[in-house]
Amino acid sequence: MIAPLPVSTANEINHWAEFACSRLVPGGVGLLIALALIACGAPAGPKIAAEGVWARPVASMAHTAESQATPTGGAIATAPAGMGMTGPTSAIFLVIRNDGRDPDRLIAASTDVALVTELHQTRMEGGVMRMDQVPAIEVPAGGRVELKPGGYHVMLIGVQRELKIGDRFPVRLHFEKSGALTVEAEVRQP
Amino acid sequence: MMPETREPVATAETGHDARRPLPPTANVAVALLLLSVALATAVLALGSRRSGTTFHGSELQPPAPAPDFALTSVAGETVRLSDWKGQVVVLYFGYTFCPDVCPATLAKLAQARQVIGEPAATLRVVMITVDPERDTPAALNRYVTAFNSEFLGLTGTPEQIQTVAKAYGIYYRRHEGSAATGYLVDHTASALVIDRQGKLRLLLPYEQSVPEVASDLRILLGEPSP
Repeated sequence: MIAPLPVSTANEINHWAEFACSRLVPGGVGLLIALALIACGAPAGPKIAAEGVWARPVASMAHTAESQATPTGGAIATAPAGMGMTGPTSAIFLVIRNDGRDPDRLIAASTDVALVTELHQTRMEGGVMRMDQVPAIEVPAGGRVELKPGGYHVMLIGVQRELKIGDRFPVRLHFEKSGALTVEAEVRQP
Repeated sequence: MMPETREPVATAETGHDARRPLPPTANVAVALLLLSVALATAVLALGSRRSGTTFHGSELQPPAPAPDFALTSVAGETVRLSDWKGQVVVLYFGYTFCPDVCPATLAKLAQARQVIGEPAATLRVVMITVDPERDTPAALNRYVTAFNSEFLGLTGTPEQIQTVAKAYGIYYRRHEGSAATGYLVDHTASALVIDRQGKLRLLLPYEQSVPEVASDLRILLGEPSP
C-alpha cells in the first residue's frame, strides 16, 4: 500500500526517494531495492516545497492618475527620481519547507502581475513598523521558514492589475541551490 | 523576467534621506511616544485592577482632548476632526506603498466593523498618509476604500502631516529603499481611538486581534454622545 504524498512541487522525485529509503528498503521489494539504493546514495541537497501561498488584494486601478499616466505599464520611467515607483503594492506570504539535508536560500521571486518583486522583512521596533529589503531568506535544512504578516514577505511593486479575493496567479520562486519553483498564489485576506 | 532585486539593505544610518532632514524634534517625539505607551500600559494595569476595565488596547488616562486638525480629503475638501463630534474616530497613520502592516491593520479594522454591525454606523476609520508626496488622493482613496467603502483617507502638505503626527505622538521617518521603492517610511503601527466626547482614549497596538479591537470599539460606541 502506498499512501498518497501531499506534495505538489517539482520535488516529487525526492519525496519518492525518501519514501523508498524509509519504506521499500526495509521491506525488501526485489528490483526496487536497487532503485532505492541509487536514490539513497544520491547527493543530499535541499528539498524545497512551498505551501499556503497567498497575496493581499489590490483594488482596481481604474480612474486613477496612475493608470492614465502609464498606458503601456511603464511606471518606472514616469516616477520622479528618488521617489521610486508609485502605484499599488501587495505582498505574498507562504511557508517554505526544506525536507533536505542542506539549507537553501530564497534569493528572488517574480510574477507577471507586478513590475518589480523584492524580498522584504517587516520588523516592529518599540511600536514602530520598519520594512527593509533583504537579499535572501534562509530555509534551514530539515526545517521551514514562514513568510507571514509582520515578518518576511515577497513584496510586489507596481501591481499591474486588480487582485480580487479568490484570484490566483503564478509566482516563480528562485532558490540559490534548488533553482526555480513555480507556485500558485491565492488572493485573500489573512 | 528577473527584476533587479539585489539592492543592499538600507540601514537606519545610511538610509536617512539627507535632502529632507528631519527636525531634531523627531527623536523627542519618539521618546515621548514610547514614554506615553509605557505610562498608558502602567495606568491600564492599575486601572484594570481597580475598576475591572475591559479594554484590550492601552487606555490613556486621564483621557485628554484629541487635538483638532484640518487636512484634505480624497475629494479635495478640508476635513476637521471636529466635523465628527459625537462619533468614535479611529485614526491610523500609514501609507499606500506599505504592503504589510498597513493593510493588515485596515483589514482588521474592517473586520471589526463587520463584527460590531449596526452600532458601527457612527464609527469613523481614517487613515492619514505619512507619505503625502507619493500618495495621490486617488491612490489613497483606492487604498482605503478597498477595505471598507466608509473608510476615509486624509492627506495634506508634508508640514501639515508632520504637525498632526506630532500632536498625536506619532513617529514616522523615511529611509532609503531600492530603485523600485525609492524610499520606505517607518511609522508607528498603533491606531488611535477618539471617543464620543472628543477625547483620545485608546491605543490599539498592531498585535491586537479582530475580536479584541471589536470589543474595545463596541465599548466606546456604547457610550453616550455629549
